[in-house]
Amino acid sequence: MQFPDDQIEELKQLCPGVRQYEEGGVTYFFLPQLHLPDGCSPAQVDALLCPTAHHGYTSRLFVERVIASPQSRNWTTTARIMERNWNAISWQIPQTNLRLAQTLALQLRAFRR
Amino acid sequence: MTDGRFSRQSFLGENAQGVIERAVVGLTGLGGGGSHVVQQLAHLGFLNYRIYDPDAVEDSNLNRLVGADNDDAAEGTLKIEVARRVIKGLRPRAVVDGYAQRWQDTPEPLRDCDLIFGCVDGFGERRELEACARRYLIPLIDIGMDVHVVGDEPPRMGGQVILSMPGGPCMFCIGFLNEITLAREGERYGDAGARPQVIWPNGVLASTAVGLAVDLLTDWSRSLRRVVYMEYDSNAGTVKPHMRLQYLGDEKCSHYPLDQVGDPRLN
Amino acid sequence: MRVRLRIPRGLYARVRDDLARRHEFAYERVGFLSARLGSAASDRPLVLLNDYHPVPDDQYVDDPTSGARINSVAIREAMQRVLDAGTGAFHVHCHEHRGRPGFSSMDLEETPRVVSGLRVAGPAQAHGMLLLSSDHCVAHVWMPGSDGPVVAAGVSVVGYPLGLFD
Repeated sequence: MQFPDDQIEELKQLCPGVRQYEEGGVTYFFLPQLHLPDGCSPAQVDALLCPTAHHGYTSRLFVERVIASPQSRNWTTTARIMERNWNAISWQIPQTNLRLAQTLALQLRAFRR
Repeated sequence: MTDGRFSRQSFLGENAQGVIERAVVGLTGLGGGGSHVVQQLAHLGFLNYRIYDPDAVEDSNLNRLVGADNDDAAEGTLKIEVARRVIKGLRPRAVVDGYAQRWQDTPEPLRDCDLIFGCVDGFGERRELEACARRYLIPLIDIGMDVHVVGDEPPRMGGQVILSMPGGPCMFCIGFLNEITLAREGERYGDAGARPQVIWPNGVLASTAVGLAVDLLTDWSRSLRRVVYMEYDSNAGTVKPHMRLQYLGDEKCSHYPLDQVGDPRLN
Repeated sequence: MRVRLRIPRGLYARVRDDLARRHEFAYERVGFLSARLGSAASDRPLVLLNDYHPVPDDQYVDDPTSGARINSVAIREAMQRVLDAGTGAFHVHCHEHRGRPGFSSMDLEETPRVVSGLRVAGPAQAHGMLLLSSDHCVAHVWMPGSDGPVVAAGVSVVGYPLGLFD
């Protein structure tokens, strides 16, 4: 799936090393050492953003390990994507047709105070 | 070389037994379906196995887990050890690399395989396994059964056997995997649940899968030339090509193009 | 280290069809297969062949002492593809006989020079040489960082049927 260059540039502002991948017809954005909101441990993780529908969610943020965050979250999912194992919380964003950076911001909201 | 034991399967071809013995087969899931597959592969003479299952035998498995017995349930024998026992009992020199864990936790041995049998639960699991098989150019034979109960009607029991061949239509292409079924599973947090399971449909599905594998390796029938998606209807007693196959167009897969094979460079 | 190659049967058929075409003066044809590494960090890496680039007719050198000799343009284009796509490359040709083929002394002397150029263009990829017969294949593989080639443990043709050449 193609995403506009300007949206990818916006994503790069949040994570300079962002790279786009495809697997099984789904587009993922790899976010190496993504900075998490204050109060999270670890403070940075490798993450994978799926900005489109994935297993019943409108979008999904996968992270390389379970994160301790200010608000306790339900870590319901382990997934293997791009030959790595990922974890994800149960966090549904009702909006669709968001810009990539908006999607990421709304996903990260789950880990804020 | 064909010794006396395999003389009755010499019709598979002059070099068939050698190919069978050289092939490395992977099995993910050694439950009702996988245990049947293992037994048949061992009888056929397969010698090289990479097998995965994190579970131990429980009493509730004994209605269908081929090779397991009461002692296994009492002692909590690992399913990989049941499979190893079945294989070694027929082929003592078989190499059986068993992993009492999900394949996702030690994926490297699976990539070694010439052929994988996917005997897993759930659509999400199938998606992940197929992604790996496609990435490393490994044919995947998937089997699964299910029982549906609707109102007061008799249960409908069925299943599928799918041969997913790299380059050819994948499970998304043939409509077996789609966002609707994945979403429904996602609503249950990916839990396929304690689904009804009995031994005889597993036997039908496993036998079909093993037959496919042997044909793929030996080409004995000289007729296996395209995607296989067999639908099993236990109520009707039939195994036949799924009707969706007639709507498949150009048989190239757009979900797993060949330029995406190999290790992804995620660093 | 046991290196195994895998090639989809459709691609394999494309290669065979191309290599079987007659050339005006060369006795054999040559092409280049693109390759990606799999399980690169393990002691059983995979070389996954995923595309084919025939050498055009006008990039052969008329050399009666050789089955097929390709010119510097062919080699430069192969190196450029390695650079552009980030893939490895395998020189491929065919000896038309049944059974396990063997590289000729000329193959073993000349082709590694081509491979060394490919390795300069793409040091992080696997490169090598593949030889087909009418019913078998063998390969020599230069893994990233290696001093020399290893003989591939086998080549699998993935399709209907599944061909395992050890």
